[in-house]
Amino acid sequence: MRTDTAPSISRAGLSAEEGRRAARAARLHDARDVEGLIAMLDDPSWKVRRRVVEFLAAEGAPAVEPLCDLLRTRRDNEARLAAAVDVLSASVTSDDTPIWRLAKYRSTPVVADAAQILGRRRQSDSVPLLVLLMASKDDNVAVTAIEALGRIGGRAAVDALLECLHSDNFFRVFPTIELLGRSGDPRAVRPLTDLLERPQYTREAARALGRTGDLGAVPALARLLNDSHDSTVRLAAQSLAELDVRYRERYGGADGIESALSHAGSMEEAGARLCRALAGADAKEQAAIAAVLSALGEQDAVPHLSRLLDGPTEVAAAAAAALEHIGKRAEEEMRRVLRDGTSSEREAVLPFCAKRNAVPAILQCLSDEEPSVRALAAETLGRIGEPAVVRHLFPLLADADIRVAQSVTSAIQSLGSDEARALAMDSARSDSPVMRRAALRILAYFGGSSAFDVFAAATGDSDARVRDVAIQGLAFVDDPRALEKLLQASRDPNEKVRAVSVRALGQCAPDARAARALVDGLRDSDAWVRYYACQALGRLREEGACSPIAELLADSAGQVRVAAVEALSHLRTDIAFGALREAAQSSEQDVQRAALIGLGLAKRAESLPLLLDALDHGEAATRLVAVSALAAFPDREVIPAWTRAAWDPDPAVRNAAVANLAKREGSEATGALVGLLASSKSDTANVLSALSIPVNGRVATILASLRQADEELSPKLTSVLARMRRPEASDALLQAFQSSNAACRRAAATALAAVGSHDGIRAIRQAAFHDADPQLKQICSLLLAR
Amino acid sequence: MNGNTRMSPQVFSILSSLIEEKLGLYYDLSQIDALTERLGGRAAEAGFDSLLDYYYYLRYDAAAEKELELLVERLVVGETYFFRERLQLDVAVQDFIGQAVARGERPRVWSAACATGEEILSLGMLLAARGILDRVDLVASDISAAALKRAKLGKFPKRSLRDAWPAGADRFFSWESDHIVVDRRIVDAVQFVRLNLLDPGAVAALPRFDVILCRNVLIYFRDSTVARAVNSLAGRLKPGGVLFVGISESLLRFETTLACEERGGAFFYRNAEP
Repeated sequence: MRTDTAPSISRAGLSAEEGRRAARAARLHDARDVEGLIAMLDDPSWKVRRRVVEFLAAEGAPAVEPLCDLLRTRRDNEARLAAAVDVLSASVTSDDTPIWRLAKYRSTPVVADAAQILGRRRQSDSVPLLVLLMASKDDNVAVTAIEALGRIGGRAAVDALLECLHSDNFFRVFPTIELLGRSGDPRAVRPLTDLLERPQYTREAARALGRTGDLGAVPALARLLNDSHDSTVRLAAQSLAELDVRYRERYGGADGIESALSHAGSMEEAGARLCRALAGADAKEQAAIAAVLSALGEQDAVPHLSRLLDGPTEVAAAAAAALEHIGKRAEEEMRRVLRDGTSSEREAVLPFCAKRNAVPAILQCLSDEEPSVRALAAETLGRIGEPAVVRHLFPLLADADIRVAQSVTSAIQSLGSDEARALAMDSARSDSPVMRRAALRILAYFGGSSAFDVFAAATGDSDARVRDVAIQGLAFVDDPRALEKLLQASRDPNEKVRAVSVRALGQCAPDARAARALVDGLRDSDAWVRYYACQALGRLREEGACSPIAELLADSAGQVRVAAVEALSHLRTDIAFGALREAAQSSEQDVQRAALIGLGLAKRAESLPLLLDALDHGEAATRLVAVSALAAFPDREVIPAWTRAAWDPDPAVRNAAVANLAKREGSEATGALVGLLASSKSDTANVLSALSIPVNGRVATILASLRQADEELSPKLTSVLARMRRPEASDALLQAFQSSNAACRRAAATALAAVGSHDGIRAIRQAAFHDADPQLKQICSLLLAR
Repeated sequence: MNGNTRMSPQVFSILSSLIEEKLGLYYDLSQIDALTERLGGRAAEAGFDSLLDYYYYLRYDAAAEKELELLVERLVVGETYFFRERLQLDVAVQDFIGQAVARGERPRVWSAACATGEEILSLGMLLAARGILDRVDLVASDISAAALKRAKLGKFPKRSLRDAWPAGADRFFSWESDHIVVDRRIVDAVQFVRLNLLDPGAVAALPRFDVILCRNVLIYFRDSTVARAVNSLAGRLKPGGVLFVGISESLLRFETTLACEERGGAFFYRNAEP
């Protein structure tokens, strides 16, 4: 049904008039005219206001007091008020006292605004004031303060939130539940579990318990699996599945909720109950139920899981993983699916097949109508490692889909065997050029001398692509005639033949005649011959070719200029190094990047400033190359450079910087990673993984950091030690548990419980009874109760 | 080359930038495996063992344009179906094309990035149902030659008709085994052309249109590329002409000369300049 209404028109982007007003705001900003900018918060366009907000936030302290005054006295325009709150939340000032004063004002809307601002500013010294506001008679103020505390986090905030659960005020308890679930504090588990008994809070409390990632919540959630309402059972499954994911993220290891469920008690009916709840469940719920059935090891769930294999990808993957985990009966079902299932069912199951008894069923997937299934089946057969299957794989080398042909080639190569070699020799004489090509690739991979005649014959193949593969393959044939053949081909009138043979010569063992042919190739009329000649001479480290290669830095073809730089990167001569330094400042991006890589390989101290400068390059790809090239330098400047690159706008640069810090030994790199972890804006999961790599000096530096860490950082660092699963990391956790830093000790207690070592449990037990810190005693008692 | 070996982040960075520059398609780091698979297969077919060599081929070789045409077949997502987001098609037909015909004009419609053509053929069926198909010029373009070939064939798998069709539309297609076949009159009414939406010269060579449909395409582009594409499309709208984008694609964050309007729940962007 369509109604004919007058069209409502709005401008996309800034209109000309908006543009003029935005320009005026910029002028006011340049003139540091705070009052003028504040007046512009009344602008009717949110796009203009957004720019004004950015300008005022950048002003810092001079704008804060006038804006606080605005919030107190000019509350007649919602848009202006919202903009003022945005400015104060983002302001670069470090002094929050004007906002604290605002929070003590007599008007509750003003106080609520102040609480919101303090939460968004995330300064922990605002916690005591927010705790006071949380007790306000006004629900809006209290809820805003609760949310602010949740944003700020930390032990004091959690203490206040726990207290709030006793308020019996729905509007305050509800947001508190959500925030406690995110706090990661073990003391939140018990109160949240108690709330499961109160119907108005059950759903929110269950979700929050899932978010805790705390195994202590498993028994309570498991009890919900026996509920008479399907919706509650699905909710419990989702919460358990989320808890499992969070726990593994935090502590690593394979044992998530599985053992906790096995000790939960009264689980006899849970599997059947979960299977019944599958009817009517959405995709996320189905995936969660499959994950919990997997953890329960529920044999009777096999037919139900099998039916999920034809569902959406996430459901099918969860079901297949569950079947793989459950055991013998599921194995039989998986084999049935491989024999008789649909393409999507087969695709879901194949990645989980690892046993030889599945091979006959997997072979049937090689004739599936979907290329992705055929490719996956070939990969799976290669992974299982049963050489007898090669005869079934060879016909698929001529598959119309190149992914299948590639997967089959890889599988045959990894399976090896005399039969594979014999079949490849036969296939190299096949009528199908596709088959001949694939067979030659396989023979080249196997190497040896017996296939020389086959390769030699194929260099005259009528199909150019077969010919090219044959020429390339000669490099791997262990027969002196192969080199003769390649040298001959390098003088062929056909430039494609010359290019391929020059490329192949670069893969042969060093040889004076080959080197001469490659130097000749540098002067070839065809750009790709020159390209591969450069590449080959670089790979063979032919330092005598340095000058003619350097001349190609001025070649007319772009790929040759880059190949020349790449070749020089492998030559340890002053000419090569000088050329690389020059090329590192080229305006050609590819040339510059290749040179930066080369400077990294050269490892000469003079290169370091150039590489450090390149971290500020406008192109992300160039910054990425510079980050990686710096790995060759042990210098102290590298760590701060990588730390800076860890904030790069490009994710690949950030990842590379963090990955390099992860691999660098010593306390500086670890200290830098700890610094990143302490920042709320860094990619916590990525940094946690990086810190979990146990290089020299890592554990000691983490332990030293833990002794100073606050309540937010301590659990992250203890989680790193737990994830390492190494004796020295467990020892460090025990030492952290004896530290004088209370935050560190509390976090270490939880991590020690997750690791579950004998010494760790003994230490927790002792602390539960004898420790001077009542909160630690409480935490340890809770951990032991599990 | 084994297409399953993941390319390095460095090679991904330059190759994905090149693909975005030439084709507009944006891949983020999380898609490195998907891109490796698609590029690996094509690179091997082109005779390259190394994706870095293949990058230099695409960047510098005289035959790069031709290779990009082949590569695009591996990269583009041709997923679409008949009468997708039909409300917009109804509004286009009733409020713009139909009214222009009623004024005695011969309106022009362009389905930009039409994939296998289901959108323009759906529109053609709606126009035919109103008896005005022969009074409208229909143009459909895509970067993929293979997709256009399938569109011109007029034969589609069953899943292309997953949404309910409007009353009377079934006069214009028939069932054949597990395919549907669109009436030749509808298919032949469309001029299919191969065109890269990000090639300003090629787009500028097109005439101006009353209605442009560019739906569920911009989601594959980054903001900077969307802005380029939208400006290019806006330049091909007659004064008062309208552009329809997918319901999940908003242009409000871009600085364009187009004004957003709404009719009966369908949003579109009008060239409001006189």
